[in-house]
Amino acid sequence: MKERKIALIGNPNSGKSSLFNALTGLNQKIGNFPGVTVDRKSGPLTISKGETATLIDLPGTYSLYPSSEDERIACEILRNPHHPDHPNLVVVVADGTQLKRSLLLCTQVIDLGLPLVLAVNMLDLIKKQKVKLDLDKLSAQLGIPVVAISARNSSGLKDLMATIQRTKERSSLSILSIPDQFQPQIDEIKKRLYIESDYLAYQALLRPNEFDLNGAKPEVPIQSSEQLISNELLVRYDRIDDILSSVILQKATGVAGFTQQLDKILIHKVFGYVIFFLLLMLIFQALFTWASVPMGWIDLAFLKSGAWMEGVLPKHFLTDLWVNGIWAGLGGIIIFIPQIAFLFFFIAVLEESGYMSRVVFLMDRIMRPFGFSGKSVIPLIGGFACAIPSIMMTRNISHKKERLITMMVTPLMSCSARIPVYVLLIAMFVPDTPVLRIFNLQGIAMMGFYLLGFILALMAAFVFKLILQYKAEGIFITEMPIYRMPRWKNVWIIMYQKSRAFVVEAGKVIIVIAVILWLMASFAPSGKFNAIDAALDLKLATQNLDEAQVAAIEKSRASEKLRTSYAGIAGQFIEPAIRPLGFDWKIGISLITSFAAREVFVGTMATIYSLGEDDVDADNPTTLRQKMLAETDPETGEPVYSAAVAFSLLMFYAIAMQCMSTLAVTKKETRSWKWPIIMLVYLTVLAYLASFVTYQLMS
Amino acid sequence: MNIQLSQMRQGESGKIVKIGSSGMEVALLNFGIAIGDTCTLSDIAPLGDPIAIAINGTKISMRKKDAANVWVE
Repeated sequence: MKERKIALIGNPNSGKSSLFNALTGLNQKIGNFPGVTVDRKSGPLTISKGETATLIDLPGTYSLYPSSEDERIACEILRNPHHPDHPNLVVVVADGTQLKRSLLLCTQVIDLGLPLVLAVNMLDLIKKQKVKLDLDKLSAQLGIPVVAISARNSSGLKDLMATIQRTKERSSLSILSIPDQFQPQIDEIKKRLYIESDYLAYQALLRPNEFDLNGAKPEVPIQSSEQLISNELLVRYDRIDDILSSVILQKATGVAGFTQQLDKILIHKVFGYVIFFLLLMLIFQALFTWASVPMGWIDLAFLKSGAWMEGVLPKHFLTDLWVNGIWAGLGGIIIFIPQIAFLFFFIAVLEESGYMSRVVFLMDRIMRPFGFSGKSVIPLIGGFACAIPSIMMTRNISHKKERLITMMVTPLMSCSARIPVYVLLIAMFVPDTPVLRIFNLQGIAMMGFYLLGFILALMAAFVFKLILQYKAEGIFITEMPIYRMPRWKNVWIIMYQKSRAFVVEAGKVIIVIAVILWLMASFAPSGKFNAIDAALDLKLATQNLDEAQVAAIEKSRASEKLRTSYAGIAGQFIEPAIRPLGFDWKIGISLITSFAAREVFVGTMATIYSLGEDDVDADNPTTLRQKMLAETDPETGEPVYSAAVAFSLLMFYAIAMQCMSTLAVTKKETRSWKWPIIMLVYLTVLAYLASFVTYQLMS
Repeated sequence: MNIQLSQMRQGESGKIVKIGSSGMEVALLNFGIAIGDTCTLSDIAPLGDPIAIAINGTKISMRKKDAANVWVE
């Protein structure tokens, strides 16, 4: 017999994900449902000794009439018996404090004719609110097994497993009686779709677009189908009220007082924003100060291990490819893990505690004029760390236009890969003068570029809002759940999963780009490298040099080779295009290599100026800075790096789309080439114009 | 007297008597809210929009534009 498939379904905030985490732990697999960007979470479930099943966590939904893509997937899986994830058993997770609403979904699943178990969650809260429920009566009235659980404390899970094990049958009852006048159409649809459930056929009648009816459109009912749906829901609620009158022995009173009190402060006109602002400061502190410690370790570990491997492995181009191509590329991704983990730690805590919906509440009206939603705030802030997870995060923005706008402008937020570039270039021309005792001019310049990115993001969003044509906005209704202590297990699981997704998604791209760039930098048209080697070897052999001079020659060997390599040729090729920005071909090479990741700029410049690894420290690149400042134009004798060039370059790095991984993720999330291409084009044009104006005005 | 949900002041309660669009009606029903239910306007965002209502022991926030479709007495 094939392994049983069990699906978890429930309202958002019903504790469904907690239950899934409690049942599967870290054994879960995350992927996408085919053809859509909706997370598909599944994991092995041990029902009893010797009996396992596959547990699938379906996206949260309030009813089987979907209003978003996530909900559509959940419905599709339950409706279509041929869907690969169609379950043998459904576990409906109900919020015990919101039984009425939860039972709506439950009665719909009963009418679909699927075997199901109802898990009434939040036992702990029910007790706290002094609510008394008669679940045996509920079970009898609905004709299905009912189990009380608390996913939070993992209680009642044994009972749930035992019930799952013995439940094979569907309920003998049906809750909704479908109006007689539709019977002919229902019979027709049942025949056409080879299905048994009247209710399923009725859904196909009301929402034909969500079913594959082989092109046939059922006759449109006299009343509009939305009206029929609301009639159905009303009938269900009547029945549910009826049932609950004998099930709920003691009711809860109003919204929990604690939540009401806390909301008085947290969404207060003044304090609400003050607290949110302080929280943002804390997140920034974590992303840039706390995360920098482990990032330093990772950086060092990759440098040292790379150097070590270069020492022990045979001198061969494959060694070079491994160490300087793949290993270095890998290091370039891993280094961001501390930031990503911190970012998702905060996001998970905000979500879990219930505060996130208040952020949306506070920010929605402020964000809307720019074409954002209240839910855009967090992806935009995440953009200061890295655009890749931020673009993935936009999934929970239900309105399509608002989501697209958020994705398109997130790369304008100055991500942390730009920091090394900012540090190097700002220090070249901005003096380290203190301002008002606590600030200094360099810090203010740096802040200026962050602000620039943010303001440009707002402006770009506004333009997209005007250009993009989408039909009327969706209805924006969200629950503001009661405040609860975050469940730490869920927080860890989210951190782990998101960091992993980041490494996989960004990694795929960066490794490929890193290898391509390595190839471009390591090979030259035939004979060129040999000529350099021959000339330098001759120098080494004929002159009597001390150690320092030998080292200098070895470094200039690398520099010479880069100049003649394919990367160097490409840099020279684009020089005419970037000349008006004040860039020479050396900067051109660095612009090209930056496509793997922006921070590569510093390393490339170091190689061009014949510096060893030990001369470059991203936090204090003094040597490289001096070398660059000393560089003069061979024809005019003027210094290459003027303030105009540096600021033009800074502008370029602040704006330009130089991150392949971001483009790849955008392609994946929008499922089209159109949006990443638009992103690349508009950001490149904008960067070019900004640099051009800066250079022309300053020189 | 019937007024729109969007016109209610903070702390006021009312019974839902009419929902202007069937889309909004289904959306509210999904949260277990129907005509005849009593709700309290519990919070207004600092810029006057969105608003949140307390109903059936939970809080639901919505944009003012959508709330204008709901009539209460």
